[in-house]
Amino acid sequence: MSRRLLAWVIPGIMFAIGCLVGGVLGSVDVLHFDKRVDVLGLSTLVATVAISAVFYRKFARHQYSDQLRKDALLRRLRESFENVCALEECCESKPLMLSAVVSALKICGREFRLFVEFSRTMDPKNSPAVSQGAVKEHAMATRDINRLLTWTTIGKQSSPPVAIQNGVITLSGDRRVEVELRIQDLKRTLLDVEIAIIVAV
Amino acid sequence: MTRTLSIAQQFSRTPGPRFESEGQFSGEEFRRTVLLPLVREAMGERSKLAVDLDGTAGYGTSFLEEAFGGLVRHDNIKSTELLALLEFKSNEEPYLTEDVRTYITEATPAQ
Repeated sequence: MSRRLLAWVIPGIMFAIGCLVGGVLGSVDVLHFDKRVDVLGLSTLVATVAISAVFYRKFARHQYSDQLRKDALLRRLRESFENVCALEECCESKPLMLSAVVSALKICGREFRLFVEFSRTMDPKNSPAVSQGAVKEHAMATRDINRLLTWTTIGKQSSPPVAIQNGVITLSGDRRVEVELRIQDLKRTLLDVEIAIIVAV
Repeated sequence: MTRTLSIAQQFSRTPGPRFESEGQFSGEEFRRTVLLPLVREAMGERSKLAVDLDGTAGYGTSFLEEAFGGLVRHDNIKSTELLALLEFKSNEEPYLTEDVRTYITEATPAQ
């Protein structure tokens, strides 16, 4: 049961029991005109309300910290998203500079690794990023993009998919599409992680 | 004894393409001017060579392949010897060390 539910259910049940017991004792008192029973019923009710309030505060605090944790994770993840968007923009730019591409890829990988570390530190047992296998997928996609953009062939080819001249990359149409697809994979991986965080935390 | 080679400090913070004809700070240039002399010295001394990949803006895959795979392809150094000689360090992009080892293993000597 989630903490959000517990914050309401446990104090709610206690409050209901308190009302019931207090009410029954109160009714008994009405029938028998006994002030001791009346006092007992009232104090049961007050005690139950107090205990319910304590429980509510305890679980509400947990709920608050969960919300903070979720916000912090999502904020970190958003930075990874922004890096992928920056990479996408970089890949669409003309001229396509090798130094800009490798730098954007490095930043992308580094930010995601930082996010994963952050996520593991926050919740070592149930890190959404790790449970989704996103670490592996992200690393593979980043590596693929790097290879698709920077792997020039060893031998001479008449029309290579990737050519570099003075640090400027020229891509064939097919290669450009492949790169775009892998960037979409990267975004999808991050979206999966985001959904996992929203659902799990 | 272990020699150390930092690509960022001893070559460039912005490694470039594969061949010198493709642009500045290429893998070919790095291999020819920096890596090969150090590898030869380390082999002569029977010492290790620790290659630090950190501190650069990032690597293109063909730069790394040409630099390290090129030692096997062009300079007739056996991949097994090279793997025993070189140690790689990359805290910033940990997967690079495995990639470079693969490039060395898969490189074949030129006929």
